Amino acid sequence: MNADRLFAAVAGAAVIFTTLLVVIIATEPSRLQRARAEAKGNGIERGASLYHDHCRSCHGSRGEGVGQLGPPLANITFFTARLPEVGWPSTLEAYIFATLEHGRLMGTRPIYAGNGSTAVMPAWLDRYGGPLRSDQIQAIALFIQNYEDSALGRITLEPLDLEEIQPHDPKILSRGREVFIRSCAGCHTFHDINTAPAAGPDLSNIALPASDKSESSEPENYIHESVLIPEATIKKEYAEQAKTSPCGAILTIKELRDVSTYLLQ
Amino acid sequence: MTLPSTLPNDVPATTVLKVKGASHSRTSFLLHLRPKYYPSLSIYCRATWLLGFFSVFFFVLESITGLILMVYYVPTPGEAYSSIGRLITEIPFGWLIRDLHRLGGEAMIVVVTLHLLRVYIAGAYQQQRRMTWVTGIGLWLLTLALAFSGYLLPWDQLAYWAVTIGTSIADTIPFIGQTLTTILRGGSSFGAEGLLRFYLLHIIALPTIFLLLLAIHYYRVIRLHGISFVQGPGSDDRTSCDAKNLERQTFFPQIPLAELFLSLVCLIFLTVVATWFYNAPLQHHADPLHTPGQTKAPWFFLWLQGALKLGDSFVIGICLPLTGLLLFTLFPYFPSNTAKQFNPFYRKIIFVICSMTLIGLTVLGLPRFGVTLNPAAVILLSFMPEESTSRFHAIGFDNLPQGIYSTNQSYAELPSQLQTLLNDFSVALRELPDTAIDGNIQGILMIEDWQADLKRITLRIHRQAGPNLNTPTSLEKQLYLHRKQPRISPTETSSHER
Ligand code: HEC
Ligand code: HEC
Repeated sequence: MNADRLFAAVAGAAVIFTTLLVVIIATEPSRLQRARAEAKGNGIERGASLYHDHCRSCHGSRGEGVGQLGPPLANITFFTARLPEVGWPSTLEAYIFATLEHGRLMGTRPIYAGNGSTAVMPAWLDRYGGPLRSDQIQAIALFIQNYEDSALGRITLEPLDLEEIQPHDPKILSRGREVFIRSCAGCHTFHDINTAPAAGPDLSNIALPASDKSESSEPENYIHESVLIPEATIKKEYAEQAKTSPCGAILTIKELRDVSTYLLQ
Repeated sequence: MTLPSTLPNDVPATTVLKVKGASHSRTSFLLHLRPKYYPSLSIYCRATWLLGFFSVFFFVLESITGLILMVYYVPTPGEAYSSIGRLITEIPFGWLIRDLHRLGGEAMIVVVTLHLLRVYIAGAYQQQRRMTWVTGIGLWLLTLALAFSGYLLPWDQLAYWAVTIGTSIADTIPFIGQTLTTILRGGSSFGAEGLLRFYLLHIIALPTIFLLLLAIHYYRVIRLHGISFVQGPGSDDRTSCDAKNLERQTFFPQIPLAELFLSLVCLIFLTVVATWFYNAPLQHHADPLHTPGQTKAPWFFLWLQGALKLGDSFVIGICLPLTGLLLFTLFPYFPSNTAKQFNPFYRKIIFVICSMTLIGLTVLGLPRFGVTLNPAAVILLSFMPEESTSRFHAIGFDNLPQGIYSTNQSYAELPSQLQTLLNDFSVALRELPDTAIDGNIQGILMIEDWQADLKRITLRIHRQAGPNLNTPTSLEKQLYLHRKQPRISPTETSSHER
């Protein structure tokens, strides 16, 4: 090819390339904005499922709180009054981060005092011994902040009711039974397991009161609360026993879940 | 300059007819790289399909985009993934640089491989070209190694598991295997150390060796023996320098202009693809505790994954490929009295056999679901995959009205895509093994408004007790869906954005 024609070809290609770049540069600001919104949406999605896995047992599956286990997060107090209450000087986002990363050794309100022997909320960041990475904490924080609209009443969400499924996995049930015999049977009776001197109530029909008392929350949460914070749910008939031999046992979270499933089967 | 004669088995440079006006250009380094004259035939496109040029083009493109990426990338497990995320959400044109780097890298593998095959088919690996052939294979291996080491850096599930699987092949080497993988990974599994090692390999060690080899390779091609020509009537494909090829083309201005033109065309093509047709993948953050449902080697190593399914990892994954490679590299040095290795016919036969094997193995290497999963779980997973966007995302936030829907009813008022999905769900359920016998199976889809702009979607498969089943069983999976979704593809978004 001769030089002139080549030169023309180069010039043509350069014009096309420049046009292309101009188009990309012109659309970049809106693209960045969209990418940010999408990344945030994606973070909220991931945060929602992490919340489901790690937080709902204490804060309720819709952030409504569970008795004395954990405070509600989807309410107006949390979004408007909480920061002044604890004297937090910075943003709500920073408050959520700090709380999640370090957990809480002691509750800041008397009713969330726990049973005095463990942190009321464990640390969540892996660096402090928790199970979550910082990007996961970030996602959960996005999710919690997204409660704002419903908490402040800007939108209303109608809950649907689909019966929870009870996993009848025989492995879980037999593990739960073992935990019960080891840790609870000293005070409680459950169907055929009745070696107890009846220090505590018979739990054979616990499924009923459990689902009544925790209207908005899941029945297993009632059992968790009874074991973890016995003062929270004292039954009148057992007031005496509750003083001398309060409900409770030292369990891993998995054992607690197994035994709850066993009792609610 | 005595470099050529110090390399083994080569004819000293002086005996080679120099066609390229070399003697004038000793004074300048640049002219040393680019001689004043080229034989006309050598710049004829069909001679090489310009594959050598394109290989260098991609190497330069990778270097430039790579340097820019290095400004933003942080090679630690805590930061790597989010620094890639920032490229997409915070840094203007970050996505473009990343896409170009990724596309360019994959294209470079293709181009370099084609270059190698072209040389092989043309038989251009004989006599003085033997050493060039060896350096060429070195460059090809380095290209693969660069691609493999770069694969880990985004630190997502895809990267983490592909590279973990890749390095585990080395585990099977007797005696030194364990040590080797430990050195590569910086421990028994990838962590901060391993990521740093791969990063340094990717940005320093491998590119430096690449440049050195490229210098030798290029020197030999330009200075020593020229390029080989397409076999034409009456010409032996081993010659490059017979008199009729001596017609010359001056370097300036034609050749730089032509190269500029080709580079621009390539850049335009890559930019258009990156902007409208391609997004470099980024899955969830790497999680050493969670092996994804299907792990997959990078596509250029799928053949190896396929081969590993056939038998012992050490023999099939290491010995065979290494022997093959060694043969391929060194065969030009074998005593050539049989002349068979230079016979174009045999060459082509071998080529066809080898490429068929590679393609077959690659197909074999494609992942399938682990057979151990419960079939009902597979159905749920197909509607709610772990990594890729789900069908619910494609249907779109606004087309998913709150409600509880069962596969046993039909809902005429629902958006049609959702009806199709429900229908597909019930078809999938009916195909479950044993459904015909105990009949009573139901799929439930629950869509809840969960938060502002967020829905929770639950898919449940419920089976009543029947002749085959003592207790009813239920299995469910959940997914959250936010209103703001990455564009899946232009056609899908346009339908749900209104
Ligand atoms: C073991 C029960 C428990 C679990 C599990 C738990 N929390 Fe907490 N959380 C608490 C308690 C108790 C408090 C402290 C209340 C107080 O200080 O008054 C708290 C406080 C908080 C606060 C501050 C609320 C306020 O009003 O000051 C946030 C935010 C929070 N938790 C989020 C989470 C998230 C997100 C998770 C899941 C990763 C989680 N929590 C898991 C028990 C729990
Ligand atoms: C030291 C004796 C003791 C042990 C051990 C014990 N509990 Fe209790 N539990 C009680 C007493 C006393 C009460 C009644 C007072 C109250 O409501 O707290 C009670 C109440 C309960 C309740 C509420 C019952 C109702 O009808 O509201 C539940 C649920 C419960 N326990 C579960 C458990 C589980 C599960 C375990 C084993 C992990 C366990 N408890 C171990 C003494 C015990």
